[in-house]
Amino acid sequence: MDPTALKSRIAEAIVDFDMDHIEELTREALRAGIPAHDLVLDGLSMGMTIVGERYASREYFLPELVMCAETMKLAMAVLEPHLASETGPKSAGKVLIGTVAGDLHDIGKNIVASMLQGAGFEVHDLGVDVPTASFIRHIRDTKPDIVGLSALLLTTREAMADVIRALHEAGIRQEVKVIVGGCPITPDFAEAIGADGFAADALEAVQVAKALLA
Amino acid sequence: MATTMTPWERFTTAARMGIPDQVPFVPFVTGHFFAWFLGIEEGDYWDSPENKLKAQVAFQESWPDLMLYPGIYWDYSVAVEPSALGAGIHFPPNASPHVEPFLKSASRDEILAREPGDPYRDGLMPRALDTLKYMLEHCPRKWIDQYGYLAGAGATLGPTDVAGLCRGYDRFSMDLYRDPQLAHHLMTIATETCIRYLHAQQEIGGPFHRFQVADDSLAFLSPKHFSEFSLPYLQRIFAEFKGEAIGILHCDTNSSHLLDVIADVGMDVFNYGPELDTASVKQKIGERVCLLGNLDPLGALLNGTADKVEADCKRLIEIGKPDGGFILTMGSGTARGTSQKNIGAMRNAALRYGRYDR
Repeated sequence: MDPTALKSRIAEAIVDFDMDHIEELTREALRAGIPAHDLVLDGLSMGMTIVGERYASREYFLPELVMCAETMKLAMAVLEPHLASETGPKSAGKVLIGTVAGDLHDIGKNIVASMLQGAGFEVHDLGVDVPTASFIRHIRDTKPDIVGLSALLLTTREAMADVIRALHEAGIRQEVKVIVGGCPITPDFAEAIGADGFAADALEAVQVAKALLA
Repeated sequence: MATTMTPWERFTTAARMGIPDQVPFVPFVTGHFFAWFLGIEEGDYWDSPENKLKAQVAFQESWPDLMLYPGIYWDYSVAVEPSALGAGIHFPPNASPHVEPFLKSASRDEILAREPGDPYRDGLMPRALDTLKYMLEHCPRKWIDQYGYLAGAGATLGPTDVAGLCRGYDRFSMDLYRDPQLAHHLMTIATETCIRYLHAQQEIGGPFHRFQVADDSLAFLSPKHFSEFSLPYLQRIFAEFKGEAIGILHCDTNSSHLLDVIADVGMDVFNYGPELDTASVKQKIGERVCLLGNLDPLGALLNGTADKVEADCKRLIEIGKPDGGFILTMGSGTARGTSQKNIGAMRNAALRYGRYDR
């Protein structure tokens, strides 16, 4: 198969959540000499873009997003050792993501992280119930371009304001863009707490992230 | 203007697709709001029957002429039913109980070996049933008699929620595709657990005159998956208890893609979320099912002015009211911090625009 066809086939495998064949397809593409970075940006990213479109048009729902994300993770596991050794094009950006303090929900955050990774972002996932101080420490250490904050409860969304306040107090607010999302998050709330962006779903998170770094 | 029906009569008439004197308004209020209203931390509300009853009665007494939805009840959020299957429950100091997805890493054989929960022995169910008993004994009788709370009122989480919470929604999603037999087993034991729990409630409070099944995650599924993995199980629950009782299905996530099939669940009343367009819901299922919805509890009710609340409710009433079968409420649970003034604006809208004799 020629490189273009291989990349298309990988994108198709993501869209069709072909978990049984994605790893071998990815290895075949590497054996064919396609750089790992190209496979992320042209293969996986193309596939996840189509997935996002199908989710937005309500053809795909949560289970399909999960299956596509899991398929993508299998491909990324094959690619990661090669990404580390290649001097390819820079990633789309570096993102630090986590669910805020007091909140243990992760399904939305996990989907967003997968979609961002599929779109070519370097993603560092801090997990759930992340204390504000931990966000600040990791932001200092990792120096991300974007911080993604997730909350599912009205009570825990206030921790998003705490993170932004802590960024100001640490003198690093201007060094990072903050995107917020989750069930109780509204555009008005995002604006009120001083976030740079709001995402209603994983597809929008990728769009907002790209727009903020454009 | 004179009203001829009590709030309970009004609710029941609308729920049975009759024409009441006016569109009923039932505030949708649950634990995180009740706790805030009483001025206590949520951690002091969830596992305290005394505080739970005190908070709920306090709010009811602030609106004595309004029937609440779900009403005064043994509220444990989503904790009870998954706990009866074996899930650990974490009670944060100021948030709703969190269910640990204890089957996330379980083997296939372990999951297939799991049995339905016993309401008299497993998890939080015995405590929830004791809370029901406590509330029946200590709730001022007038609220029980006037609004039908507790005695003959049932409530359970739905099987899709129970299965998803226990397995983790990501693993459950993969099961739908990779191991449908496993997904069906999870739904079967979840359904049986919910049915047993409802029967145990009847043992305490008497035969149901109404009951509620809350199953938000059914709307995570495609129509195909809903029809295969969720609908048959919900149908079982509603068929078990419908009889003379009014059955209410609650789902406040975006179920607009399921409107062609959701009425097949067999409920009398559909409590739907704020993202749905009431006109579409009315058009699709309004002849079969009473609609219970759906003012935006955040954008309008929490953050809007009373005038905006009344205007939004007027619009909803104009759409939902014709030919009966509409009850005004919030699209999901009232948010902590919501003003009494804005709740009053909803009541005023029902009074001003909801009469059926105009």
